[in-house]
Amino acid sequence: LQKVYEATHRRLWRSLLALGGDRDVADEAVAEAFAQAARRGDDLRDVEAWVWRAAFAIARGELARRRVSSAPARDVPPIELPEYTRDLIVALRALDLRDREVLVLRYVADLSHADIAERLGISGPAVRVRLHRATARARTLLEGQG
Amino acid sequence: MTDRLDDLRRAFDRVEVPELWPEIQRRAALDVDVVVPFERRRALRVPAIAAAAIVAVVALVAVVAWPDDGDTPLAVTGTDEAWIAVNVPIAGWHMERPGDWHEQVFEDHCMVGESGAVITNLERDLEPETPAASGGRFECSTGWELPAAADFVGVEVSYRAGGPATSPDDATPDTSRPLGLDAFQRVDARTRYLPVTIGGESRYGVRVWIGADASAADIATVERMVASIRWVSSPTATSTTTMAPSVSLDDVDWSKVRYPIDCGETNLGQVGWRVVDFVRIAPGVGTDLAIALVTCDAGAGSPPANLYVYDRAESATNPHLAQTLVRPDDNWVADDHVDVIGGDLSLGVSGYSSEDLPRCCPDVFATLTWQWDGDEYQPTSTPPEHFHY
Repeated sequence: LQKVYEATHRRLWRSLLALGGDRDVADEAVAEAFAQAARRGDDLRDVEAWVWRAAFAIARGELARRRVSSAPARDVPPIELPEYTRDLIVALRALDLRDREVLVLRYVADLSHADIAERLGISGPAVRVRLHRATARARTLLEGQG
Repeated sequence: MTDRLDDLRRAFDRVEVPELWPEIQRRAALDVDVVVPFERRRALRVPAIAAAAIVAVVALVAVVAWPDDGDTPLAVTGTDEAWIAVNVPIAGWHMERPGDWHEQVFEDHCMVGESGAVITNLERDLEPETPAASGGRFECSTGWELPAAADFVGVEVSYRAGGPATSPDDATPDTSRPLGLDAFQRVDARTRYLPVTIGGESRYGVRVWIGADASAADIATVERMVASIRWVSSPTATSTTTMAPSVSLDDVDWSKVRYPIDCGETNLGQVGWRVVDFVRIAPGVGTDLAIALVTCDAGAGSPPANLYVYDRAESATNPHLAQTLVRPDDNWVADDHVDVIGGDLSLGVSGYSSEDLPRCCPDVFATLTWQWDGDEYQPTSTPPEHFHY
């Protein structure tokens, strides 16, 4: 498990940061997903794929929980990034979570269409359609920002 | 845009990632039964529309038994969070669930092609049950690894493609709706199961889990989910029209509607169809519509999409087709859901720029949109050029 952690946790953590724009959510999702994988021992056939699915599921739940809680939304990503990248993160946040996930998995995690399909549990053609639409929506949002 | 997305990856590559391994080891060493944040129950959010259903139960129980997760006792907090539709195309199910409950759709589970969906009060997917090691090459289980939490509740709807179906002399009548928990068979302390027959097929089933310490509100939610279950596709169903002057679209049995779709035949027989997505919508005052995204059940390949709008029904099997927004001749392969924003519709589609391309890999993409003008849907997008077979 530690080998998988060393090989994948950076990319996973950065993807989760891009998904939610929140370090705490990324920390929680990565730590809990790996801890649960550790408790399952040898039961998991593909540890890396399971950890990614679990971490994204945890992050989805955590983001949903924070959205309905009284915590104010952060308008500015809490990390130092070039301004144009910050614009993009803000645009991503305005997207539906499903669109955001597919963009993050493609452009931050650098996964293939087949791997994205496996992570999200949808077909390859559906990934292509969703990715195309998500990109178009992100572009519209960015143009709207001028 | 693509350049900026690539910039995003490079920018994130420069962000320093914290070392989490010590924290992972600390958590992994905890007793499995400890409620970790991952599975911690959220503050119970009762949709306003569900409140009435819960009132009777709460009145009987007098005091709601809140889950004991070690946190501050939770309080019912009103919210406008709505229930949402769950469509499980491969199994033909349609049901409703609270928007904040976890949904997990599964396909081709195990060796019997079991497909369906699981809705739970967790915040994660269930993992397939690990069967006892028997050494068998094809050992498999269609069960799930259920959490130890005593307040766990969930509903599973499923369709089993493989295995034995109804025998010809077994004239089991179709299961009547709405489904109620009292009809379920008790499997164990927290599991109940109801086999369901649809269109003469007995491959369907609904499973319900109710933990010993499940809250009254969660049980009421499970009951409401079960009662909302209906089926919208069944290739083997036959039309048995009953004449009636007019019925509500809610009373239409969408599995028995004859959609204007010709899926042709193969050497294996008539090709069936399935409803990929189904939406009930009221785009204007007094306007009540049902939107059905239907495609041929071709298995592999990319069958073209059909998008229908129904505005009323003469009988439970004969709704009135008001508009066809996408037809097979349009040669679009659709995404798996119709987006509804206000009264407007959008559908992600893909197609092919030439006939030379393999049917796996579309290269033309578009989002088709329609706006309700008070009488009907008007297209508000211009589809890109693509090849028509």
